[in-house]
Amino acid sequence: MTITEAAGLTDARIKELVEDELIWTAGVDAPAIGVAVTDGAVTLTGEVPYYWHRHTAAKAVLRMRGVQAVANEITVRGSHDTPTDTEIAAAVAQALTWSSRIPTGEIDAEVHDGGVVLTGQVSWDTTRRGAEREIAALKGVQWVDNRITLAPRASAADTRTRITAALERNALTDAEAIHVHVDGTTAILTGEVRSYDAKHQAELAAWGSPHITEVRNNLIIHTHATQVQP
Amino acid sequence: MTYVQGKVPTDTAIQQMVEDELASIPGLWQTQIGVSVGGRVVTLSGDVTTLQQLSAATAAALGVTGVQAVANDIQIRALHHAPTDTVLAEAIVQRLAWNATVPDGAVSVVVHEGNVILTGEVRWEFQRRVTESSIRHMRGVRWIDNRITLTPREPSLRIREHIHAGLGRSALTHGCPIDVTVADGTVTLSGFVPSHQAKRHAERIAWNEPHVAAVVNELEIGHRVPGAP
Repeated sequence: MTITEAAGLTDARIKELVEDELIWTAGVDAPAIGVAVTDGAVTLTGEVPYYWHRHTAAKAVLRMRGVQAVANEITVRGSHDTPTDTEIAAAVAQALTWSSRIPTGEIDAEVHDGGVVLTGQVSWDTTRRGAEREIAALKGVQWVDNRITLAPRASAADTRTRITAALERNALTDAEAIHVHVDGTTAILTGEVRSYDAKHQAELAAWGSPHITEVRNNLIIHTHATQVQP
Repeated sequence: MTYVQGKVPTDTAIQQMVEDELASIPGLWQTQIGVSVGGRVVTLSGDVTTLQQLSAATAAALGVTGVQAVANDIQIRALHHAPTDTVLAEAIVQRLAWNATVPDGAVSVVVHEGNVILTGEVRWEFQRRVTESSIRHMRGVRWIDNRITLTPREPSLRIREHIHAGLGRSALTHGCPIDVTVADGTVTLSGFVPSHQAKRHAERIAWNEPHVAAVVNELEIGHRVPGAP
């Protein structure tokens, strides 16, 4: 069964809903964004002034009922006040230095034509994500290539149990529907979740383990009809 | 039954789960924060050194199954090498100027002993929220008092209808028994959602409607009695 059938929505209906959502989402310039839907997978196209707008549009769509995947083909065209690479590099350096979630000096950034490549090694995935988020929010940034690596970690026998416990604690994730397989320091998540947020939370839960260096998030978003209208 | 989420955890179980969840936050010492629970409301206490740690602890506690609300008694201790207020204020102004979401020149910043007061007027609630979140992770920021106001908005008769449509499109809130009432541009959300994330998302959805002046979020997290109306 495909997601489209599960949610009771045809591609044409999803396209309509996505367009409504984009019109309605504050911070998204809906007329600039094109929407195509095939088998529940949404492709976004068009041009926006800032990288962050591209992210906002995709995130709004990912959170919708009936949407399983989003291909983000929106490009960043820049704005009238597009800064130079040197200016961007200075802003990136400032953002990294001032961030209390990034240990000083662990992350390097290289800017080329508005694209930012992040390198370095950190202890936690959340630090790596945090760095990317700080940089993605900056004006003038066209794309971010996050090549930050994690410090090597030892595997542990109880990793799977601990990740499953974290999934049980989380209000969004149904631990019984998520299968966790741990192979050395790689966690593989399979099964079904109800929303993009649940899929994301499950991945974060796996990353919460100090013995994981890779997470393969193979969870499928499946809008079940278990939440019914009263 | 509206929600099938298993049984509601006891306060003792919630306390253990919150402690485990806090232990999994990188950079936070497990012993730094005390957790007490009464009636599914979690009180956090203790000392941390950054606002980011405080936010992370609060978010982690709110995300735990069964938690209804979090009361935050965590204190932020001064850093040993805290930047001066002048240096911090300059860095904040720079940060806001570079942020793609914060409107240029709309927000003023006052810093006193690491406490930041934001004032000004923006058009959208998400701009107000992002202004705050974009500086929350900065070194030396101990507290943020967000006094940014919204540009006055024209009333509309279709607020309720639009918000219901938005709630229906979202994977997190679709199908939840949410009541939307509107009075003078103030939207009140009541009813039930399964998680704190869904509660927060519902509020953001309400704020997306351009005619909303205020949102009162009375949503409860949890379960409806089977067969209840």
